[in-house]
Amino acid sequence: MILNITNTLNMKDIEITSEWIDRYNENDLNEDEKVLFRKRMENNPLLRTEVHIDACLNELYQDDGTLDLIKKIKNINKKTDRDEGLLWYMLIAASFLYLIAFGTMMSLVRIDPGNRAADVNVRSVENRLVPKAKIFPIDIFEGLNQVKNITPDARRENSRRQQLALN
Amino acid sequence: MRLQYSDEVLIKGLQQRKLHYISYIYREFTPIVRHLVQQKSGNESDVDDLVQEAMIILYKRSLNEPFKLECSLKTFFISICKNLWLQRLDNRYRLLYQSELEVNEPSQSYALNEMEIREEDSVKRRLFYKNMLALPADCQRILELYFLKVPFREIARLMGLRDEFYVKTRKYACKNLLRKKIMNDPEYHQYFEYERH
Repeated sequence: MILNITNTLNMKDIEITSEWIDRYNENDLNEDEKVLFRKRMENNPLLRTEVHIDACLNELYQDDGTLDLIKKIKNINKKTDRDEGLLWYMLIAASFLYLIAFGTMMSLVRIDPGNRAADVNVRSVENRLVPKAKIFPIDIFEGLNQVKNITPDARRENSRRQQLALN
Repeated sequence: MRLQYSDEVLIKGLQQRKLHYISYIYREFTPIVRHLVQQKSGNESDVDDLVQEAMIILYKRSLNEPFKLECSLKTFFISICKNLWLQRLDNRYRLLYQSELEVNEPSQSYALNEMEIREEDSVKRRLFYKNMLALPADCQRILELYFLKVPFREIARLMGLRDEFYVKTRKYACKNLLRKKIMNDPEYHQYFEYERH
């Protein structure tokens, strides 16, 4: 009896470490330890949760196939992200290269004086050969505009000339 | 030219966890899942989660004999994703508007009983695996070897560690670290919210 009480007192002083959680779920505790641990669990919800999590972990670790599958999926995922990133980098690099090449070409065409003179010549020849296009082939307002633009003095001068011509 | 595989070949490949077939399924089906998710303003991480979870469900089903598809693999895969996605949206909505919904809405409005797909399981699994894979590399290796029933002495030899006592202590420490990581994960509280309601 005395021995039992001493044992119980000793057990009460024992500090439960995180190791005990593992050992409890692996059925590695002796009977006294088990009793003490269960008692502590009753009063401690956090410990209860931790034991529950540990049991779940043990279950998941037993299923090594799923863990392997998840690792492979994660790797594929990472690789896809990497590939997409690489593709974007390549697209950006290609755009820059294109812009640089285009800019260089344009500046060469503009700077070369020979090219510029030729360009001006071509333009002037074109200007001479091709008349300005009219929107309407016949300008029906042509006469009206002339009349409109004429000043009173000019009109009087015109009529005087017409009179003289008639006479 | 792109290779085409029959559904049987793909399922067989997935059963054996062959990277080539997993990659093929991922490449072929992800765009459809992405479209589905983006329609309801989901993001890229939702897509990754759904594809991963659907792949695990498909893998686990394929291991259970007899596994027979009554539709194409693509349809089956997409329907798993759709169910998971609708349940997830339902849960998000429920968490946001908990007080109003408690009175009006029946729970599990999107659950398909015949498919036994539960988003809660998926959340839990994702949370646990995410943290398992976030452990330091040596911890991951020790725990994996331990659960493959490799003796401590052998683990010490394989990993070039001091002795079996060190491995044992390290294993406890790693497990403790993992538990703490899970308990401090914001998703963990969300998961236990599900369990409570």
